[in-house]
Amino acid sequence: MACRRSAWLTLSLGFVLLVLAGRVAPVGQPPLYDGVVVEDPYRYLTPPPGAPGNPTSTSDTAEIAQGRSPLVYSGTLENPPQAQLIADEGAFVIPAGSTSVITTIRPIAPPAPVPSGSLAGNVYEIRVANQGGIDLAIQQGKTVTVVLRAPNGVTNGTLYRFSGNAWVAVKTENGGLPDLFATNATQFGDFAVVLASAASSAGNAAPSLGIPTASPSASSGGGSGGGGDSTPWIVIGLVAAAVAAGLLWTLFGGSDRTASGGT
Amino acid sequence: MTAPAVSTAAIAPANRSASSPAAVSAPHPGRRAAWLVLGLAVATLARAAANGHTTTTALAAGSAFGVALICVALVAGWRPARPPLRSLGIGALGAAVLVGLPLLLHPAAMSAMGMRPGPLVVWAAVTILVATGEEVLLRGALFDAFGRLYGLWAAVLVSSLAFAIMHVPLYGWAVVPLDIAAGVWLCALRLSSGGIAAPAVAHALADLATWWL
Repeated sequence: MACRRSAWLTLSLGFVLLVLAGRVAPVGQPPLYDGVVVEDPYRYLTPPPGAPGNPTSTSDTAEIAQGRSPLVYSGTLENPPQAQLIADEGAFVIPAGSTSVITTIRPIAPPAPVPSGSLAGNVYEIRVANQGGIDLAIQQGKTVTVVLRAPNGVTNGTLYRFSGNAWVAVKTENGGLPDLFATNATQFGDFAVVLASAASSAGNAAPSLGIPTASPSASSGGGSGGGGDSTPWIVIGLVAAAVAAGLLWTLFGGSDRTASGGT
Repeated sequence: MTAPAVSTAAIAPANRSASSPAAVSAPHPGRRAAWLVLGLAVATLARAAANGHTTTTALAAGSAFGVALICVALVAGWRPARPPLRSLGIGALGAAVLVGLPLLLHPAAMSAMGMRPGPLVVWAAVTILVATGEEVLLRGALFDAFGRLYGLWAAVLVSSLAFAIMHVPLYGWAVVPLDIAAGVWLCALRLSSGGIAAPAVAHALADLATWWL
């Protein structure tokens, strides 16, 4: 009976925690993270020596049904995509006569230098238009998410949008991996990941060009996703502390509850 | 740390059905717990270091990681047992919650994160191996070890925290809240079913679902 009560209590606690955590989860975060993750090296529009070039572009067409745009997903072809657009159903204001929504994402040369810091990776032009080339506005209250990937190992960027004459920082969330950055867009245009000045001096990107001064594959996390410069050490520290606690316990005390009649 | 009287009563049935450390010559529980945490840490960091940027290296690192976790658990005294059929049903229901809740909370499409490499069959096999390995070690051996040492809630707390922290090297700190919650949920499945088969099934199904989400 006690066991069953504990099970129900834990089930309830787990369910509540799942709901709460789901509310604050980053954009697009799946329920669990496991299995296999592969992250291609970042592809630069203007690659530094030894770094891959030829970043991909994408153009996707979705049919409009009953005057509403469908759920739209569009992403470049790298793994994971270096630029993605995700839009709710009915997310766009549809002009009369529209039959389809065309999403275009392509890397472009930086239209202007960023006011402070430096670009990390490519600038992506993101456009959504109807079949006649008329740009579509975003319907108020609907969610349109832009996700950009930064070069491998860059984990502290902020998304900026070029408003036509200046770069403007937009509210940035984690996109599900350390180097994925997401924002709920209110307007389209040119987007980029920008590193603060201090971060750029650490060697992740050259000013305004999106070109790394270090090897782009030199992920400080030691893996595909990396955890940022300090993350592995923090994890190692936590683990070492846990191991030390276990060893101390082993040496200086404690008892096996079951063996000592705890049941 | 004191635990309620129900704690060890909740731990014991699980040992009978899916892991039976008492049946073998198990090391001292404190050393056993330390060994499990150390093994988990080494395997996690080794996987992060070896994952690389290609499908081949990621699949190899994932496979080695899954096998390593099972080996660490076996060395610590964990032994497999035939799971009751109802565990599979509980696991499937648990997976439905793990997959369904985020979809309800975020109904828009998920962003792609490079989690669909290689042929589906190979990816699925490695994904199942990794999920099973994590459950064997976390909700099996580690849960038992800390449950015996400090009681049920310590077992839930430690295995859930370990589950969250072990994902940080590959996925960053943003995963911690959701993975702690998922860890508690998987512990609950173990307690409900009396073994690790239910959380293993739930975990594997939820991971497999990412191929289509």
